Amino acid sequence: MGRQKVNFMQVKVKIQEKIEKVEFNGETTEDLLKKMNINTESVLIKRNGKFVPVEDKIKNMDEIEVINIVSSG
Amino acid sequence: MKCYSCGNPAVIYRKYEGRAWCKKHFSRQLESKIKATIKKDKLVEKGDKICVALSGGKDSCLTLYLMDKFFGKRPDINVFALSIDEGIKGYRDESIKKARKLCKKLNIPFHLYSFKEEFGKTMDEILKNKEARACTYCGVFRRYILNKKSRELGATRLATGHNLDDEIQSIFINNLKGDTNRLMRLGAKPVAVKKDFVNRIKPLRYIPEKETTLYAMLNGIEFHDSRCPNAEDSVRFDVRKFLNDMEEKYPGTKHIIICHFDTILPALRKYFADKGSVGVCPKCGEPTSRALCKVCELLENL
Ligand code: SF4
Ligand SMILES: [Zn+2]
Ligand SMILES: [Zn+2]
Repeated sequence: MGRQKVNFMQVKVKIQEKIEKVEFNGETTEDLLKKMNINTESVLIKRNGKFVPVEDKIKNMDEIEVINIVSSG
Repeated sequence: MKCYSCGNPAVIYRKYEGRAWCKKHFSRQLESKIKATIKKDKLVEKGDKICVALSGGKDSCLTLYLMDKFFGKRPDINVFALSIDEGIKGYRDESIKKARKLCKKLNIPFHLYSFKEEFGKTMDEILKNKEARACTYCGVFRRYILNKKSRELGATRLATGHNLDDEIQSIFINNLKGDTNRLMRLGAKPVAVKKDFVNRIKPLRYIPEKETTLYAMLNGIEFHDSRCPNAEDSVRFDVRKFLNDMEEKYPGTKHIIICHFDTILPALRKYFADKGSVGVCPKCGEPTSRALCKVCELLENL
């Protein structure tokens, strides 16, 4: 039985004008969103200022912006 | 991830499709998808005057932007925008600023009508002395003005910004409420022409909300993105969450729902052939299938 690879990271997350530091165990924005309990369908992601797929790998100390998709009335 | 087409860094990966796209190819692809919808369902034809219902939100702004991009240079097709000021302070005034700004930028005629002028009261005033559910009044009044004014302005098509998510949410809601008539009205193609009803078209009907937002942001379309203060956590809210959970877990769900709906819709419409004949409201003269139209009924209650 091999040990599961643990991938601890800390990233800066900007969400609704607030910036917080989040530590999590994973590789992609998708993992991060899962930990934050956010549905990937309801947000867009910018990494270091650029739109990226949630499946993209992220690096330690990356800046992740979570943009909420607002349904227009 | 790399773009499927050119290998540049991707801005989105579509799980339902299994491909990633860069900004350029994502934008191009989205445009051709929408063009294909317009062509296949004959949403726009020679000689059409397209009135875009412009709220200033992302989807209506995108609809206007694309209608202009696709048809703006055609001498035989006309595009203009119609906005409605319901009178919701701190919300609609802001979104109308964006709507006006976009029209100016694209050089598109902009028409504005308000609840205050048409019905004598703003939404805020209606809510002040009434335990009313805001959206009941708001939605009915807005659809009334949209139809009446677009018709008076000579529109042959009324384009709205409904996206894939909006559409499948409506399909679910009408199923949950058992509302067959409303369900049947959700098609892609304009429903059989009835006198005095301007044909509605929804060019974004097959585009997920996530992608309409991304396109608008990538292409510098400025839009208003806050939530109406009167919006409640309604059935739609729960259905939206449910469908997003399903899509996340089973990619492709949203497309399957709409494709399946389109498949059974003709049979539904045939079986439940529209019995309600359209008459004229004795009070305001607008088309209705009721004795008194819904607007006049609500107005009596105010
Ligand atoms: S949420 Fe309700 S009150 Fe607000 S604009 Fe939409 S329909 Fe009107
Ligand atoms: Zn590309
Ligand atoms: Zn009436």
